[in-house]
Amino acid sequence: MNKVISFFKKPSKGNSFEALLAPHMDLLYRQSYQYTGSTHDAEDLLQDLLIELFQKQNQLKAAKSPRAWLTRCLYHRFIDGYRKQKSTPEFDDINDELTSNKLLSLECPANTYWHQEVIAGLSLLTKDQRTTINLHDIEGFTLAEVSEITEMPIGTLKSHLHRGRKMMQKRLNVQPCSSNHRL
Amino acid sequence: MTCDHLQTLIEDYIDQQLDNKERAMLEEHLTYCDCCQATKAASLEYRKQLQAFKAPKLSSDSAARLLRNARTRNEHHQQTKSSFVYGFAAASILAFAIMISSSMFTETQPPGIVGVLDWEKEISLVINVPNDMSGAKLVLNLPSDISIQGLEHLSTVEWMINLKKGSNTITLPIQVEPYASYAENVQLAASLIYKNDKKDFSLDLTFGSQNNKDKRS
Repeated sequence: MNKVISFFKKPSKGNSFEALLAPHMDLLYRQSYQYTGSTHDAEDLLQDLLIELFQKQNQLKAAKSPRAWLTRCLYHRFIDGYRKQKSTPEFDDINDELTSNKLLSLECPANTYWHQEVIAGLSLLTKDQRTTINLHDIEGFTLAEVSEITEMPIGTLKSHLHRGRKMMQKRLNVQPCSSNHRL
Repeated sequence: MTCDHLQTLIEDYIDQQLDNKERAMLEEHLTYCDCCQATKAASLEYRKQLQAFKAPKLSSDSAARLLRNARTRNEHHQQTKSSFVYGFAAASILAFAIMISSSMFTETQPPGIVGVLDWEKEISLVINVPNDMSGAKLVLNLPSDISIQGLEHLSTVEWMINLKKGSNTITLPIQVEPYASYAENVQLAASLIYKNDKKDFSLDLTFGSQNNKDKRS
């Protein structure tokens, strides 16, 4: 009497999800870091995305370009989170990075300073400028690919690139400050 | 063309976005304009530096943890909602009469009284959907004297379900409280939630018995 007929086949277990995403984790984490500016926030963003992707494995398998498809998913996840937060990354994130990289600066001061300056520069941009700079100038997507990922027209992307690059170039030309390496 | 205008084309030139005419014009200009050459060099240097930017690397332990968490969260969500049954609802015509017969119902019982002892039965629900609906949620709002076996404390029960195109059938073990008093027809409220859409339905439950079939049908 208590028998229940289970009509639907349960999803198979195993590590197919992990195997599917593993080749892309570096890419996704790198982009998450570029969006958020901190390792902690990058992991949070990536975790949110992975939870969503668990339900979309079939779509990922069917994607012609998994890299572009995943980048698009991450972009939308970032924008959703950005809208909820309604604020741009603060310099506090940069200060956290400075603290965590304090020891590293003794080993490789130039690279660490440069890294910090890029993150600081990105944090000054609007979300659209930051996205466009990340995807085009850092990740190397073409304008057509960026347009497909972000669903923005190429003309709009060029405008974001132009303004974003101006600010980044201005930031990256600033002389290094010795206080960054002070213990 | 002025130098100011040509400088605005340098970014597009590097991105290979210029047509042949503009590209030829700019390349000719660059052969003798130091200022535009410097702008082009700065732009190339900026891109080279940005492409060399290396984010911190994600450790393999962290990657495994993130993937594991994603799996665990999804599986926990499925287990919490589905319990031991899969629910379903019709996307089109839903109202489905369910006949429940009870051999305990005797002619001496007043009409409307189901029985003096609680009893357990299985009911079958059929849902017809026009397309596959993976990850839908069924919500059943049960009348006060009816519950799902094993979930007696819940008046509202929810399941995450995967519906296949066409007819989907599921059996639910129900339990009716003793001394329950019902009119001939009882409505079971149900909702099907799929993506951002929600549909509300009502299921008519008709109580009957072998002995009273003629009176109640």
